[in-house]
Parts: sequence; C-alpha cells; structure tokens
Amino acid sequence: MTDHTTEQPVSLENRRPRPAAGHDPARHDPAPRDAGPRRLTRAWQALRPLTTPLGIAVKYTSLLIAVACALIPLVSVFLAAFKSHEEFATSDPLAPPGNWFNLENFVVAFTRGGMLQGFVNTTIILAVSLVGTILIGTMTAYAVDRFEFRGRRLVMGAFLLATLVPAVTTQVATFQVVNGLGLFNTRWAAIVLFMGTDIVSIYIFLQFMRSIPRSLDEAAMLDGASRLTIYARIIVPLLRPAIATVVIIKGIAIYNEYYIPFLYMPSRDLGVVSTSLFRFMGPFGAQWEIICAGTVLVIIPTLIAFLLLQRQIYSGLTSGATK
Amino acid sequence: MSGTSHLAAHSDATPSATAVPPGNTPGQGRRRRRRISFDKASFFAVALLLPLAVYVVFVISPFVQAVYFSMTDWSGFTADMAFVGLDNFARLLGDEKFLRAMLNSALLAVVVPTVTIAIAIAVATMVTVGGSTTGGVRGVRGAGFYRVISFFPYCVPAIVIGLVWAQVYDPSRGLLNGVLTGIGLDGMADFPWLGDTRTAMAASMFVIVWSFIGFYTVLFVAAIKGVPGEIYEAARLDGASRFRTAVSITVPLIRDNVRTAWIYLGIAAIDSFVYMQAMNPGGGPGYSTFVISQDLYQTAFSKGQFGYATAMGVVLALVTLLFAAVVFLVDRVTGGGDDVRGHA
Repeated sequence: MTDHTTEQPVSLENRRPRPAAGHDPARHDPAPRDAGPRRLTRAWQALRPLTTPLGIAVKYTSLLIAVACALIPLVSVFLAAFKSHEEFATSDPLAPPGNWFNLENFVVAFTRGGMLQGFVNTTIILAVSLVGTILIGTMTAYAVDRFEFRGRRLVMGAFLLATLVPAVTTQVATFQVVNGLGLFNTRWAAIVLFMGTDIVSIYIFLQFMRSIPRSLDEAAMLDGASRLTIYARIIVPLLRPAIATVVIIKGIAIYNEYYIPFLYMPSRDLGVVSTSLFRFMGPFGAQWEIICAGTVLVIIPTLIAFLLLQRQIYSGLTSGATK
Repeated sequence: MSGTSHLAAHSDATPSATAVPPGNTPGQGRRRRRRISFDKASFFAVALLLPLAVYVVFVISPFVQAVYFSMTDWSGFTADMAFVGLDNFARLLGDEKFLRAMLNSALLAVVVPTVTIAIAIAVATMVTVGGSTTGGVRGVRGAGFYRVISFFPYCVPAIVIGLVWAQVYDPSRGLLNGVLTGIGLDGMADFPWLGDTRTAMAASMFVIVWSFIGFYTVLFVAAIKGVPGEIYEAARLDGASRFRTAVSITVPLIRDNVRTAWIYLGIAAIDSFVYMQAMNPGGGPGYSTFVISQDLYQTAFSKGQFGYATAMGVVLALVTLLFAAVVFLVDRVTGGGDDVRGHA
C-alpha cells in the first residue's frame, strides 16, 4: 500500500475568504451534523456552557442515541446473566433480575462449560501468537523499511494481496497444509495461523517505523553496533507504542476468534474461550442465560485490557496512521 | 513464490542507490552505506525470509492449491479428483442461488463501509475536535466516556454479537419490538425483522455496522489527533463552518486512513459469514441475506462438493480484489495521492 499523505499542504488560501470576522482562533469544533451555527461561535465562547441550544442539543442527542445503541444490547446480556432459566424466558429483556446475587449461571458456565480450560488455552495461544506476531512483524518492518533491495515492492505487494484474499477461499487448502504438518488438533494450528496470516500488524509496524529517524540507526552503526543490536536495542524499544497497539488489536481479534479454533482444534480439551460459550447451544435448545453469563466473563478481560492500554493504543495508531 | 530466491540473491548485493521506496517519505535520507557485511546479510535473511516462509506456507500455498481445487470435481471426502477445467465456473454463472449471494455480498461491500465510516468519522470528530471549550483542540465534554463506550462492541466476539442481536430482533419477545410497542408503535408488535424480505438485509447490516464502529472510531480518533491543531485554528479564522471543516479538512487529512478502513471494512462485509450464520443460518427469507461465504460453506460441508465450493471461493477472492481495485481507483480519480488541495 502506498502512502500519499506527504507534507499535508492544506492551502487554506484556497478557501473562499469569508467576511465573518472575529472568531477566536483557539476554537475548533467542526462537528459534522450542525453546519449552521458559525455565527454562534462568539456566543459559545461567552456563555459556555449554557448556550448554543441547537448545536449542543444535536450533538449530545446524537451521541446519547449512539451510546444507547451501543450499550442496550450489552446491558440486556448483562442482566440476563443473573436470571434463572424461567425468569429469562418470561421477563422483559431489560427488566432487572429478581436476585442480583444469583451467580448460578456464572458457576455453570465456568465449570460445565469448561471455561477455565478455555481461559488456559486461550492464554497460551494468545501469548505465543502475540510474541510471534510481534517478532515477525517488527523484523519484517525493519527489513523492509531499512534495507534497500530490489524485491521490496514485490514483498509489500505480496503481503497486501494476502489481506485481500478471503480466508474462506483458502480454507480447504489451509486445512490440508495444517493437517499435513501434523498440527491438526493441537494449539499450534491456531498459533501458526494467527502468526502467518497477520499482515495488518506488519503495516502498523511499518508505518510507525517511518517515524523513527534513520540517523539513530546510522549513529549506532558508526559505533559498531550490529544489525541485530540495532534491531533489539533501538528499533524494538522505540516501536513500543506500535507494539501496544498490535497487542490490543491483534489480541482482541485472537481472543474473539471462533472459527479457527472451532475448525482446527475440535478436541474438548483444546476448547478456547469463544468455543466454550457454545457448549450451551446444545441439542435441547440454547441455554441463553448461561451463554449470557459466559459472555460477560469473556468480555471483562478484553475491556480491562482496553481501558489499561488505551493511551498506548492511541499514540501507537497516531504515529502509525498519519504517515 | 519466485520472489524468495530473487530476494535472497539480492540481499548481499550492493544496494541500489536509486531504489524507489514504497510510499513517499520525503525528507528522509535514503543514502545507505555501501557495505556488504555478513552481519547485514545474515540479519536480513532471518528478518525477512523467516516471515516470508511462514507466509508462503500458510497463505500463498493454500491459495495456489485452492485455484487448482476449483478446477476439479473433488468431493472432499475421498482422494479422487478429476480435472474439469473451467466447468465449475461456467456452472456458477447459471447458479441462481450463487448469483443472489453475489448480489447480496456486493450490496454489503457498498453499504457497510460507507455507513460505518460516516458514523465513525462523525463520532471521532466530536470526541476530538468537536468540543466547545476555549483553549487547545479538544472534544465534547465526556469525550473519553463516549470513546470507551463506542469501543465496547468491538470487545464482544462476532458470533456472540450475531446471536445477541438475533434475540434483540426476536418478533415476540425481542428487545426492539418491546421498545417500539413501548413508545406506541403497536403495529410493530410481532414484526419479524429478520424474517421479512424487506427488512432482513437492512437489519443484518445494522448489526455488522454496529460491531465495527468502535474500532474505526478509535482509528479515526488516532488519525485526527495526528493533524496539527493549527490547521483547525486557521480554518476557523477563515470562517469555515464546522461541517465544512469536517468535510474539507478532517476527511482529506485522514484520507489514507479512510481508504484503508474502506478496504478492510469491505473485505469484512463481503465475507460477513459469522454474522449471517448467527442471525439467519438458512440465508434469510427468500435468500435475502444469503452471502457467498455461506453458499461456499454449505456447498462444501453439507453437499460435499469441495471442488465447486472452492470455485466459489476463488470468485469471492476475485470480487474482493476487484473491490480493492475500485477503492484505489476512486481514491486516485478523486484526487488522492497528490495532496488535499484537489479535494478542498
């Protein structure tokens, strides 16, 4: 993928000059919905936070609707997790559970659903494939960005192509390869597939890499550092924000992935978090309240990880994304 | 892949001083030290050839095999397969169910990215530069809250999202009809959102969009934060309205991100397997939500026609490539790749 945002000459001279004078230059609020209230700028400034009824109303109403859309289905899942089977079948989805301390569903999900085993397997797969992805991704990015070689465009094109070929296209053949290597029904099946097919993280590293000055490597090289030393002591530490970004994005994707574990690791002992949820879809109808409890258990670690790593994600994406 | 040996041969050759870098990163010196060392060559080999090897084994070779399988009548359960040339592809052209699936996937590829990106940019703008406080660039009050909330759906596994929304849309005891009757729309009491040909696709699309918005909001927030605040200040000085600032400044400046998002979203939307399978495993009323990946799955695993199913997969890959090409083309035609002036 080629990058085009170069020096960002916004050329504001091109914009039609407008006579409406006297806007405070330190204010910027280009909310897309309310095109009108340019003239209100001054009022906003003076009477904030009470005024600009329209602008604020539109803005916050739309945000609140968005919040409701995002949250309500999840709230109903959360509430259902505390309900008994009968209660779930009869009560309104948004009605609070009769007993907030009914943890029965969580216990059942954890024990009979094998979620403990699921968490163990997921953790192992997650840790190994993340380390692998980061090693492969950073090394590739270093090689592609800092070495001159003639096949570079070809390599990048090949990686790009891989993002464009849907997984289902190659599913049967991938299965043959995994099976042929004797990885079927082992954790390695998921691990190699997560590592080998991850092009997005290579891109994130590559874009971030461009913001690391070459003079750093060159200085280190003059001091006699080997490439490996430069990679390990300079590049990897500087890529830390990008690594955090990849850890969270890739981590969540692996954690939530249902299809690969389902297809390649059918053994019950190898169940992961996402597949263990579906032990309750059973032949006698789905036990929704237990699936809901399991879902709550599954979401919590992801949310905590996101909240903790939020800052790094943004800084990682910022430097990576703008170049 | 022939490139592997080609690369190896070049790894220890004198680097060409005129090598064109991918992407333009002006201002960075491209002068390299013309030194061939064991250090360089060996590190290069490990750093590039190892990833390439993994990639070739697990990505390229299955693809090449898939192309071959698509020209056979392989059932998948026995080792027998006869080469049938392009028969499978000819058969696809007359397969009405498949053509319907193609149409649905194409519709998803157009609608889902457009809607998702529009909403994600709107939310990202509000939480970054939409604020009404004086001082530096900042978002609306409670920006952090909205940002975190919008990310919630991304934390939920896709399959769970599909199943949860299937419950929400449930005609008799679903959340949606409950809310609608609650606000007085009694006509919606038993409306089957996923069982009516008029609404099934739109309802499914809504769910897919819902699941993607959080992540793309995060992406655009990060991108907008990379835009210097002075640009927004200048726009304001020039008297640009807020809508105009969003369209003429924000979007052009994060254009690369938008294009990338468009491609990833399109690919995800063309696939859509997990969502569709969770909400309407049979393909929906009148196959109105049936997508290529579902057809492929049924053909391969229920009907035992692996050769034919793989042909569908190859067509799916071609559709995806075509989609990416169109996105790049539109981007180029509308002035991307030079600077934002043409757009502003």
